[in-house]
Amino acid sequence: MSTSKIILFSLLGLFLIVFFWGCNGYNSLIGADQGVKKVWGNVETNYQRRTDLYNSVIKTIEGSANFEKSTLKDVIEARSKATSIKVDINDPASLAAYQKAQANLQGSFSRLMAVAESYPNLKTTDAFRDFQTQIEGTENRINVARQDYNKSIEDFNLRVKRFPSVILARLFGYNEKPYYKADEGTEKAPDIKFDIK
Amino acid sequence: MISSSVNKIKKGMRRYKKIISLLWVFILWAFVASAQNIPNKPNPPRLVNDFTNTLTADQQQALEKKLVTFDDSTSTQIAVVIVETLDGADISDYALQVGRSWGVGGANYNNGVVLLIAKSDRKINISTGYGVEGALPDITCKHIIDEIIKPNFKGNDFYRGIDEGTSAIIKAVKGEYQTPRQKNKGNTSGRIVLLIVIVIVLLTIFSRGGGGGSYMSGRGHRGFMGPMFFPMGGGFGSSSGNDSGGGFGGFGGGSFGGGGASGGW
Repeated sequence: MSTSKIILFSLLGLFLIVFFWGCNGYNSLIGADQGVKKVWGNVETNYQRRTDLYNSVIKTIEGSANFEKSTLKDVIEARSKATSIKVDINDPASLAAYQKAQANLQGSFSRLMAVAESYPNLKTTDAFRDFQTQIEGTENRINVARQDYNKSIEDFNLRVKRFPSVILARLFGYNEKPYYKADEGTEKAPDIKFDIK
Repeated sequence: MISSSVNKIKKGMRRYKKIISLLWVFILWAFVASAQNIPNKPNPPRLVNDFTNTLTADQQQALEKKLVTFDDSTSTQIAVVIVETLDGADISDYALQVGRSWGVGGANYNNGVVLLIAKSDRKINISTGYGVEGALPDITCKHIIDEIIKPNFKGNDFYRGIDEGTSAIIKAVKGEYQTPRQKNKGNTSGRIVLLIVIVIVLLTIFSRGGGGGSYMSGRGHRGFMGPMFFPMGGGFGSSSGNDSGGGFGGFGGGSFGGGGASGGW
């Protein structure tokens, strides 16, 4: 084998290695990006699920006569604010706004529940007990979805920042994505207590 | 001019620091959350896992038999886990970790259910995999806990509570997941074909270069390139390992999303 042939083949081999590495790296980057989108979808679905639950509670309360109107109004305002926000997970500001609006909605809803406590004919119904169970389950799901989201973000960000995959990430314009931080002051799932006994 | 830009930099630094510290808090929190003492996946696999010796051997066997039969006919796996204490952990979180780390339910259908009982904490939880959330909504789980399991536990009849509870779960799930278990889905064969094609391509490329011994070198390259193409590999699966004598065939890798309900007695 002549020297030029050896050089040619080793170049070809090198090119193949780089090419396959590039494909592989790019595909896994895309996979991680899709993974993030999927788990983010889970987060949104679960927040939506919670909002739907809130809606049915709000409707029940609206139906009962002479309920204190101001707390109800707060919840309805917070709800419309929370549902109006569109999130782009590549944009930390919109994620923060979304999180704040959701936390707000949750806060005003628990205030509404506190007021509902003083309406005994309301809180002792079976429907209300079921709401409690459902809201508990939904808060759990939100928590899990958020943890999963952060895990996938960790995976994605590592790919974007680590050498050598950082080269591919830069090349194809992938940037770090923001984590979903714990709500201010509440690192744990909030507990809404109806206190039905 | 200069001072304003210095200020800007300072501001930026402060924000950066804040973000970093928040990140740390999150990481620590995630670490704490995941570092719970979840019991290891039972080996050999079992559906009834009593870590407290509350149930007698006969009772465990009877339950196991019922659950394995149900798993065989519907592929839905119901794992019963009895632990002494949660060590302060949230019960639904604990059950989720058990369900996920053991992989209760099939990986394709995520049709697993975990019935967790923390004896000295006097807490009960039913956690549902993604696939059974429809058949076993949170309200149903809550009803099973409150109306069926709880009264029995109050009278210290653990076996009856668990037996009737699992029967209720089975009743609720029945009809939705009649899918027979599929063994070893095709996925791997596609990879093998791809591997063969690549080896042939490499062989032809390298064999053109010269005479004897090139075949060997081609093989050598396959060994070298293999892990490069499939860094996620190692998973040429053999999921159906110990299917001996009609016993429980093992957990299927199902996942959970926080569905279910909890209660106490």
